Amino acid sequence: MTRSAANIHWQNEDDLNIVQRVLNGNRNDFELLMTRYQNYVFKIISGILPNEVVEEMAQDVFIEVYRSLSKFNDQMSFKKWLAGITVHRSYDYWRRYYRNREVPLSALTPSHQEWIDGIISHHATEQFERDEARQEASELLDYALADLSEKDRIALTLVYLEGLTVKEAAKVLGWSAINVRVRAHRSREKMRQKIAPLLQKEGAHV
Amino acid sequence: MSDDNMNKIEQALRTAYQQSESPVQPGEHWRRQVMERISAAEETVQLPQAEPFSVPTLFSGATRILEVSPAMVWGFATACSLCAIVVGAVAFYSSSGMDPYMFSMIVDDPVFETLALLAL
Repeated sequence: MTRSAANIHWQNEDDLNIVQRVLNGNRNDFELLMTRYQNYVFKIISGILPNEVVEEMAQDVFIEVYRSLSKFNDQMSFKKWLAGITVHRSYDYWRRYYRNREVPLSALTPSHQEWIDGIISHHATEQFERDEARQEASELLDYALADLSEKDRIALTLVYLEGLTVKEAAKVLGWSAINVRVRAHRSREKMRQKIAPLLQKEGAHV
Repeated sequence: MSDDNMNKIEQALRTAYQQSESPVQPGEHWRRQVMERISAAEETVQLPQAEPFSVPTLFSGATRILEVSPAMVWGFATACSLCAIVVGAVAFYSSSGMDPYMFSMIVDDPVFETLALLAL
């Protein structure tokens, strides 16, 4: 098999097969999983922690994933399982070192208000094509999540942003499904309450 | 403010989150570092647990003998309670012909001596 053919082969290979091979002792195959999901893990961590700690945290995440591989099963996709571990670990770090660095209302600029106005005015597609708009959305999300506790953020991120089901999130986190459901619902309400004043200023600058 | 607008914003924030990319990009060097950490620390993948009460399971904790888990504490407490009940029952049924001196000796003596006496 040529090198490119081998590449195509592993790119299409099921995660579960690779996991099984690693569990059978082919440690180097773990690199295939890393290559496949490293950008995804970096993206999640970047949304939670400052850039200077992203690489270190991503290393810790993959080490933990490697150690816990035997606990993974096909009841959920590897990607969702990985997201659960990444979010959980990142917020644990965030709680210890960054909890008090909240985003005050004054940190929002007129450009954030313009982003909101644009979304409401059906210009969502155009909004996402602008790099600045993505940055504004990210900062708005930071602002909306600022008052939430670590556990509420975890539940909200996994269920509403990453798209895990309540049952999947509960399994990854080791929490009860009721706990995840209540936290996700409550934190979503808090997020909406935080954004609401900005909508009332629709058409006006912050 | 309407729910419709709030839903739009919420959906837009979710989409922005999912479409976002990390400003920090992983490279070959970073990946090699992770693999080196895995190798250097001789990280071992946890094997699936053997059947309960099988011989491998009983000996699997031998290297972690100083680690105490809640399950171990409760198991130990249960075993102690059962021992106390058995010893108490034996002492009760065998004390009918016992004189006061013998009874007080059993009550006062340390556990091991009492068990030795009962065995005799």
